Amino acid sequence: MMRKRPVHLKTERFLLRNLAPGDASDRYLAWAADPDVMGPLNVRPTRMTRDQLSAYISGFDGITRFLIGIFTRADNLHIGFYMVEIDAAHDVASFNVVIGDKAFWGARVVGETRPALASHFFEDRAVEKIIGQPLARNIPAIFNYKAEGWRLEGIFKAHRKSAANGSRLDQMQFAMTRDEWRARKTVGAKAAAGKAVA
Amino acid sequence: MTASSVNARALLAEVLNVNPDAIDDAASVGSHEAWDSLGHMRLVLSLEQRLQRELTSDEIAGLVGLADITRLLESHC
Repeated sequence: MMRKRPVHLKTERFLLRNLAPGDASDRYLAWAADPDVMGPLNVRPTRMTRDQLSAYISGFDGITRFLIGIFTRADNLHIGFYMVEIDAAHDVASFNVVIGDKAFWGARVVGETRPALASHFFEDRAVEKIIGQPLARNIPAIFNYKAEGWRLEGIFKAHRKSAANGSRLDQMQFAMTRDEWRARKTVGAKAAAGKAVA
Repeated sequence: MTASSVNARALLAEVLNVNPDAIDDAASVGSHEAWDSLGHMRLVLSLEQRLQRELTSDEIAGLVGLADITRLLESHC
């Protein structure tokens, strides 16, 4: 039986932890209302109150549904979040990420944090496969999956309806299995060892 | 070296804001320090401007290296 355990991970520059109702801030509310932030996710920008956002955050059980904040380690600034949902029957997790603070766009936040999160879900929560499903026009997201070595499983044509204008949108699915993840880690470790002795 | 490959290198250098000499033939997503997500966004928009059309989802999915940029520019010749 799956039980509630908090996520608390550190990378070189960032801290990842479960968001709590008290994390509902004006910054976070501004991201939800910003078309530049929400548009690539095909989510209509929404003006919410702090109470509404707190209630939304409370809806994540931390067992099969996680809302994980990305904070800078230098000054504990909340800059974005991951939403992770686990299909417990199949041990498959889906990842979504939002970098709300535009000052961190292009700052390789996802490239640094997602491997740590993937490692956590593969190794500590027995997830067998992780998928990500960006819209085909979410170019930064596609870049990140490719740069991190995720496998493109397919392109779903006209799979989503645009929240902005109702047009049909293509969606991609990237994936990594736990075996692929471990193989990559082994190759990376060997390469690092080779460099160390070269 | 074809005109398309020279143009591809120049275009990539421009969107990444680096000298063309800093881009080798094997330059690809994830292997070049200056090639980040915003640079990739600028690359797609710049290609679409040159080709005067939107890239298809398959073209976006296949855009991983300098050779892919060259191929797209050649298709426009």
